[in-house]
Amino acid sequence: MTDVSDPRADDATAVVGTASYWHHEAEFLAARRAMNIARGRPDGFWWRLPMILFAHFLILLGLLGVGIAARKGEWSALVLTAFFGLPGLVFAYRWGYGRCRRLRKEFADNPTAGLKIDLTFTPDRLLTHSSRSDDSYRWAAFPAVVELRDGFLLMAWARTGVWIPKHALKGIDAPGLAAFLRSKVARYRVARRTARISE
Amino acid sequence: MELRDFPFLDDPARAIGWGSYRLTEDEFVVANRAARMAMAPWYRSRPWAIVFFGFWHATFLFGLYLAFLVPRPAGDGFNVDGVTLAVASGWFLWLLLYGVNRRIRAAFRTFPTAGDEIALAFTADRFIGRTSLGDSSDDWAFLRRVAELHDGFLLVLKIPNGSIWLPNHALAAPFDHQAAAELFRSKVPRYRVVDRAASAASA
Repeated sequence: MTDVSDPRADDATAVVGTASYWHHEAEFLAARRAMNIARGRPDGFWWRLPMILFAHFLILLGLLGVGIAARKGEWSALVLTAFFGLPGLVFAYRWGYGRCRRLRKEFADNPTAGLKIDLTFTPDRLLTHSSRSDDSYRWAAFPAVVELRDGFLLMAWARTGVWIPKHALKGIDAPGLAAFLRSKVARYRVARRTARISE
Repeated sequence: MELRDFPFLDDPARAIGWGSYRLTEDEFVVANRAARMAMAPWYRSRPWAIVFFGFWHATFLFGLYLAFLVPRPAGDGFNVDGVTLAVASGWFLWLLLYGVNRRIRAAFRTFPTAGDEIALAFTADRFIGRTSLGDSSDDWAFLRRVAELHDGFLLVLKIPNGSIWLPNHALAAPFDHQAAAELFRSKVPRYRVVDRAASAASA
């Protein structure tokens, strides 16, 4: 226990620690990447490369369908175009060409973009605060935690979660928070990966 | 539940309206149906549904026809294009139509607030939620859009797959459907009226 106090905690002396960080683009991307890593969907370029190549393979199949239909008059080959070529275009845009644009849009759309996020850990709850939101969750709301080299991801239902960067911790260090979270959350997993992309 | 039970509502007099309901399996199914209606035209409009699902049924049948009924030279086996078409469109139909209720009822069994009381209160600058797992008080900017249905409202959040169902029967008088509609229209720029009920019983 530390003497870190938080007026929103039921009992200020029960605050285990806090974290505080600015929700900038780097932190947004780290949280997103952490979620992908936690879900077994790493999103670094080399991990995405096979998916991007697969998308182009689907596009080639689609083009093959068009070619067969045009040259041999076998119009049923357009099935290849519809069921492989068109999804290939969507995947290539989603995983490759349109990814940066989509992420920038998601960040700009995020209501806490650019705001300071304060997290408070108490024995019963996680309290979060920004100038636009106040939340208080029981630890049971998080069935799993994934610890990365540079932060913790508290995973909630339906692909949502709370990102806690290690550099933001105050009044508690990373091993201390890890031990605390192990005692509060049913499933604890360590991923030897870094969520934050080096700048 | 009472207004004073919301920890993030310092002064109950600030509440413009509120409501609460129990998240039963039937309510969960209705909430998901409302979410689908808010998301895609083929779930909220019958003509669209006939065109969209009719197309996928037609492609499924056409695939079966190509695969098994079109005469082929002896020893050629079945038509691969036809099998691909039938399997892909059959999978699509299961994903979007026939398997939906089964998946939703299965999801309810693992949903963290299944069976809990869900309560919502609304002030001029925030919407406030309360469940057994936690409390929230968020700016209206957290809402992407609102869909008004005959039997309630779907508040779509700016998080993936995030939405809140507020059925009419949950609203606490004098905050009725009309008052809720006026409030949401004034707070959320993207407001859609769906001229149907999410509940099959009241459709």
